[in-house]
Amino acid sequence: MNARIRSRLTPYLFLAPALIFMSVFTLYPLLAVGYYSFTEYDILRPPAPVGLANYQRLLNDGVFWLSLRNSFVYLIVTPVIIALAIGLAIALNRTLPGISVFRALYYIPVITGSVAIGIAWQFLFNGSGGPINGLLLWLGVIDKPIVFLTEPSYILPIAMLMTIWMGVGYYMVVFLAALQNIPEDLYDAARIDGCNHWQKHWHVSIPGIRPAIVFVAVISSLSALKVFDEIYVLTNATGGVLNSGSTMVFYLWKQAFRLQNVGYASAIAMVLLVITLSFSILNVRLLERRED
Amino acid sequence: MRRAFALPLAIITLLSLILSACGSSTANQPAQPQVVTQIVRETQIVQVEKTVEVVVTPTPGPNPEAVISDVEAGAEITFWTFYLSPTFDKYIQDTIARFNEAYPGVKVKWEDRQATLQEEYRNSLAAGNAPDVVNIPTDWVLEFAQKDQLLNMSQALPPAVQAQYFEGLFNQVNVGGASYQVPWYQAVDGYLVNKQILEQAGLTMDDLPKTFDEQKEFCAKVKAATGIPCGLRLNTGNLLQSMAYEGNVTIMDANGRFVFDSPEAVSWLQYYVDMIKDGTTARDILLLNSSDDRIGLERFTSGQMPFYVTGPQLIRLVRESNPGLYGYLAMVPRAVGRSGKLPPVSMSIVVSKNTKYPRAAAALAAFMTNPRSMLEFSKLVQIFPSTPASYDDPFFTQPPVAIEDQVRPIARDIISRQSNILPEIPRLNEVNEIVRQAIEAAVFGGVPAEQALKDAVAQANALIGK
Repeated sequence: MNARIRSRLTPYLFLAPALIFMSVFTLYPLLAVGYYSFTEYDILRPPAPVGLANYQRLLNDGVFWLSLRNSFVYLIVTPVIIALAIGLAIALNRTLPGISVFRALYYIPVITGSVAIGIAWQFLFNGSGGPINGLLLWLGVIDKPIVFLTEPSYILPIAMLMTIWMGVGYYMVVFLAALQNIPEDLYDAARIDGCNHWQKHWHVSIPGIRPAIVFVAVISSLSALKVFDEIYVLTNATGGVLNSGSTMVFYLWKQAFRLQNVGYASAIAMVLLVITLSFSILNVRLLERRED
Repeated sequence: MRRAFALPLAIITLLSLILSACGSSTANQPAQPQVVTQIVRETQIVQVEKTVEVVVTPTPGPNPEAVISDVEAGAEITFWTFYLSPTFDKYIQDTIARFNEAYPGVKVKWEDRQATLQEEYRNSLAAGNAPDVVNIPTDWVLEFAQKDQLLNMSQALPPAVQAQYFEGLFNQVNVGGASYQVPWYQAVDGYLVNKQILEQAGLTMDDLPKTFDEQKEFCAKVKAATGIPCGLRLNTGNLLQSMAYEGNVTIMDANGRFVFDSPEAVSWLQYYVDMIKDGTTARDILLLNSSDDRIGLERFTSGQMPFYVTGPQLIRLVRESNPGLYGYLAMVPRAVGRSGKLPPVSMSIVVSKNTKYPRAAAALAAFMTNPRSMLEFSKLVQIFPSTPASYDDPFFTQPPVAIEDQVRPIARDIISRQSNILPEIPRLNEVNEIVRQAIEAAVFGGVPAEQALKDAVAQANALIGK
């Protein structure tokens, strides 16, 4: 082998492990799901081609549209979580005794298992003896307990609250790191220019952490579109009364693993892929343009 | 010196001889071939009495538990159980050891699976490396049988072995006229009663409902007197089963079309619509998944239900969580539905169709469920055999001492009456989801019961192309 060929091959050889790994665990599953979406497949029997039937079925499936709508409603989580995480990061970005304890406390939900959190939240919102009902009864807001998790209108908001509570600590750390990279001179200059506390953050901190905001916006909105754990745990894997808590990924899971409609679930997965891909591109473009 | 020892030694030897002559000749000795002495009187002309000694040595017979012939030599089979380890490790290992005595040469590799069993078994079937023998809840059998993944047990087991089970249990999952499972241990669901709440409501054990319709009245009385609702639950794994047994609803007609929108079906659904509306049963318990049984049990354990429909095997959990309540518990038969029939509540053992060793696998399935294995298992935990012969043991006729044992004397009668009255339902999981949506729409969504069921029947028939 001459030196020229060797030098051309060398980068590919270095890339080979990663390429093989990605081919096996990303590319192949993606192609397989694409193929299954055009078949009727129940795992136990070989897939049978059905053309576009699964995609046609999607058009007339009310639960799919409800799940799609719920997934988009779930995006409300993104601005809320960003605002809360920035607020917390600013509050904790100071050198006070014991501040690291507070930072760690906010991070605990991030490292706690979602099933454990789900069980705790089920208890919180329990219809008979749950603390939330207890508090509302004590305050006189309600006169009899509400069985929150069987009320269609409550399931999605409770799941969203849980997502915010679980995720805010992680995003806070991202913003905290970004805040600590802002030069102190800029704050001094703002102070000299007469900025009060709020103006200082509005004119210095927020522009200074904009790349982090773009990152968090993309990551958290994609997570919101793909939410599953919260719905699974809070609704005991049912999707809630009348599918009121069903989201795209939950519905996909239910079709694939509860009802064994793997072909149909693959079609849902392909639609979800197109949506998340488009959404990510749009998200990045919009935020980049604003930054320019 | 030698003489000094000689006398005591002689005395000891003499005493030993006398003592050994007095004692039993077989005591503390390993079993010997039986020696039978027969005295035969022969009448002869000379009138001489003659004694003839006949020595009979029994030859080893076939092991009575080896009921399957021509088991593959050198077979190695994998056996999966469901939630039995570590509590029952010894029982399973001992039973497998007995199996090895009955079928020498067959190796059994036992593994216990828990929450992910269904997915794991499904995936292993798809991957072509399924275990040979698997313990699954009976509700799951239909799916695998309909998809041609299980061995036909009506063919694999000789008629005499099939006859060792209660007929209603062996045939409880019937696909194309054949059984694809053998029934393992059974539960007897009854009312686990909180007598404290009954007292508060001014009721006694005699007031407990005996029928489905009495149950509604009973819950209304308890709610009115104590403010505590009942915690009724539907079988969410197969809602059509609840409909058929409780409401005496015909599920399919002779042409294989779904017809569960009849007046009987509407009446059954309206029963629950009314109870949820009146608050006489808890709305968050009604449609709990079978895997969330403990959520309902915890509610009962915390003293918030007059009774809970469960098996005696779960009483120990109540005792562990709330020992103070244990003394106020009672276990009685549950109300019988309008069909007058009781649904089986059971675990099955199935054999994967593609096993390399069908005879050895069928032998293990039959062995784990034979009367002796079932009896021994019943003595360890409050489960009940699927084999009538097991109940001949005095264990089942002893008067109950603990609350957990109260069902034992009547278990045989209850289990012998359990049978499947449902037809073979195609695409059960999807039809069940349609029925669930209909029930939710009526109970929680305000849709009239009649309309909800009519829509569900139309959807279910469209699904199966009828």
